[in-house]
Amino acid sequence: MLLVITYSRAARQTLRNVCRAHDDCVVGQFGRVALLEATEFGAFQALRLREKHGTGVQVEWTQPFNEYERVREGVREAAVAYEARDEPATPYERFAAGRDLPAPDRMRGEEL
Amino acid sequence: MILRLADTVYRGRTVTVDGNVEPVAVARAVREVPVDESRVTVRAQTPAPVHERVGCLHPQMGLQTRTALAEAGRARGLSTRFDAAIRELRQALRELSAPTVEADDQRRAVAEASAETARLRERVATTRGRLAAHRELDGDTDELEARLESAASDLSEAETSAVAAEQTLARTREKARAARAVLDRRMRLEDDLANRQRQARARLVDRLTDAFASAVAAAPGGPDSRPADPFAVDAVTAGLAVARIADFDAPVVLACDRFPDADAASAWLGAPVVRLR
Repeated sequence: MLLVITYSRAARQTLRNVCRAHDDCVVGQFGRVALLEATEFGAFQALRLREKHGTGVQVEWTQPFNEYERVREGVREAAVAYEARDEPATPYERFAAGRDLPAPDRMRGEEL
Repeated sequence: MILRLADTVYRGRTVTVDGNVEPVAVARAVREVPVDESRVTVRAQTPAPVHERVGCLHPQMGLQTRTALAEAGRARGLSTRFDAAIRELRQALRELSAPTVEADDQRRAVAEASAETARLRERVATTRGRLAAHRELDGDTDELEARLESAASDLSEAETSAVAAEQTLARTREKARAARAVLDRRMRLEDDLANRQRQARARLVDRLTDAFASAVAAAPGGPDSRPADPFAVDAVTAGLAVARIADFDAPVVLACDRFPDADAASAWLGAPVVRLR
């Protein structure tokens, strides 16, 4: 899909107008952000916005996220374990320290 | 005022113009500095911003009445407790740049470099395949070997340029990210400013609604008594009422049949008048 983020009032207004007029190519709209269908028409709308507002419009190409493809097992397990913790107030760093879970700093340094 | 239309000159606090001229053109001439080739020019007091909204009253006009009324309040020198914040936000916005980062050329360069790399990779693979086939047949391979070598060298060169193009684009993206952080701050300030302006406008309208309702009721050609909703009247009546409330000395252009003459209109509005017949 195409992720369109706006960075000015004018660009945000144009995005809203586009979404209202062409909701058939809009997957979702969240304030100043919209997801457009990955079709030529979706691209046409995104490019039109960028043409009009320049740097005030960011367009990104998004893909569905499959963690089994992209993320190693240890990180996936850490997420599951942390969400099952008994003490809701425990920060992840402390939670991971006593267990065989990846430290936050290590994860920060690893690109997907 | 001194109004010149084609070769005729009109002078006075009120003038009545018979010539064929667009009302909005006259009102624009009130606001704008005259240039030599203008067909109509007006020398008069500088108008307040509300003149843009009620400086020209004619039957086809539209009017954002509340906004106009708030501006009339400004033309009367009214202030609100939001004004200091509005000034500060405007100042902050003036001091904040609106950076732009152009990445179009870089994106195109990356796309072209990647297409070129793919093309050359294909050529290397094809040549390699043909070379293998020739070897099996014990054919002459010199020429194919030379071609393979040249294709491989082209490919390696193209790959290097592709990496360089990617890096350039990545740097530009970083710059765009920094620029958007600034734009983000701007947008927050602008949103804040718009909110304050809305609040100020609402406050001014509140304070003037009563006077506006009276002016509407007193307007010639308007409702006979004070209407329940003074904002529900026609645009000319609302415009007359706003202009009466506003305090400015720039001429109002009238192209409507509400007053017997320009003097009566001027007395009612408290402003100079250009009446178009």
